[in-house]
Amino acid sequence: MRKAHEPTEEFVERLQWQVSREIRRRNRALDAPRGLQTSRVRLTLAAVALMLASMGIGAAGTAAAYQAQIKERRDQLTATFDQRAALARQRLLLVTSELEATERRVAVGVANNAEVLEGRIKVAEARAQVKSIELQIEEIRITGLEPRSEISAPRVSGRDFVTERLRIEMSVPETVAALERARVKEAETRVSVGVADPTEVEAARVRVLEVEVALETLGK
Amino acid sequence: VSRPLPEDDLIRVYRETIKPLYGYVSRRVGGDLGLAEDLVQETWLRALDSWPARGMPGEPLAWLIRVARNALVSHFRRIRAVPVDPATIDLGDTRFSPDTPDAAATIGWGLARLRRRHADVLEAFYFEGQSVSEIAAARSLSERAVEGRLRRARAQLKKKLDRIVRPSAAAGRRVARMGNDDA
Repeated sequence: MRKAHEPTEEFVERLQWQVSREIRRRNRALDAPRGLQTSRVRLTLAAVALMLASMGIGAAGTAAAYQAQIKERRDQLTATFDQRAALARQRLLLVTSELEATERRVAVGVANNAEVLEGRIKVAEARAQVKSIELQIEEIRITGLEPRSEISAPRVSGRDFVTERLRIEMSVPETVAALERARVKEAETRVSVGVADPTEVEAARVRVLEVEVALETLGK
Repeated sequence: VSRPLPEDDLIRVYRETIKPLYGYVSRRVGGDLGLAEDLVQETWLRALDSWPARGMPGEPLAWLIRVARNALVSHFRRIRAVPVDPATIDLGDTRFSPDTPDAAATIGWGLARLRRRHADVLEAFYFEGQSVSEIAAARSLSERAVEGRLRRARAQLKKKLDRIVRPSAAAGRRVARMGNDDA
């Protein structure tokens, strides 16, 4: 007979069976995760490594593709602008030879100074165009992009290509202004010797004024 | 880090501790078989949760009894207080022993609401049947100190039980509500 406050045999056996089963289950669970944990760590590390490698390869591929794209665009633009520069140089050679011919005609008295002045303006324009295109090619080689002409365009490698090109383009009206001033003097000389009408001087002065106003506007 | 526990060692500890552990719990529930078995089972499941991670304690029975006591306190704090006939509970009588499930439930309900130091001496007195001198020796106290502590503990317990030791049904219903509030 069971004494007071003593467990029944049935309860003791049942709980022992439960404890045994539970400890076996937990021990198995502890053993299994050990292998699983190792493989999980390995799997995680492998996944991370794979992810990083994929990211690296992807980034390198993208960068290479981007670089190739930039290079291709740069080459295309450079080729285009080289052609333009070659044309501008040919034009410069042409107008220079025309000017020399005009100067020779003036020397022998078959042409007047006005034609020389016109020729000098054309030479100045052609020279400015050649320089401007050369600057554009430099910009393309650095950026790989179409040259920008806006005043707000950013500097490229510390250089302000927009301002440099504007200065070159400004040299043309400056040459025009100098030539118009020379034309005024020539007209004044002709008027003083009585071979020209004073209105010719006034017309020349008006042209000088127009060019100077244009220069002032461009300077602003 | 959890480590597997050797099954043989565990079963040996189980065999060595099951009777004293069960006895400890059973006395505190007045021999209520079902409740004692549930609480002992709960205690062992807690051991299986804890030991693989922390290792088997040096004194497994002491560990099991401490956990069983916590389980008992939780149980008595959770249950609804039942109105008790004052004739069945006489704390002033030194021969009183809560050896029935109802009386043990009432005392357990009250002890679960006392301070640990008061509950401790009363448990030793009522459930372990220890004398004043045995309680004093186990706690390195003088018998006089234990008597004083027992007196104060009984007064505290009586104060708690006064809320449920009422003969009338109306009082019983009121106390039941208070018991629920406490829980």
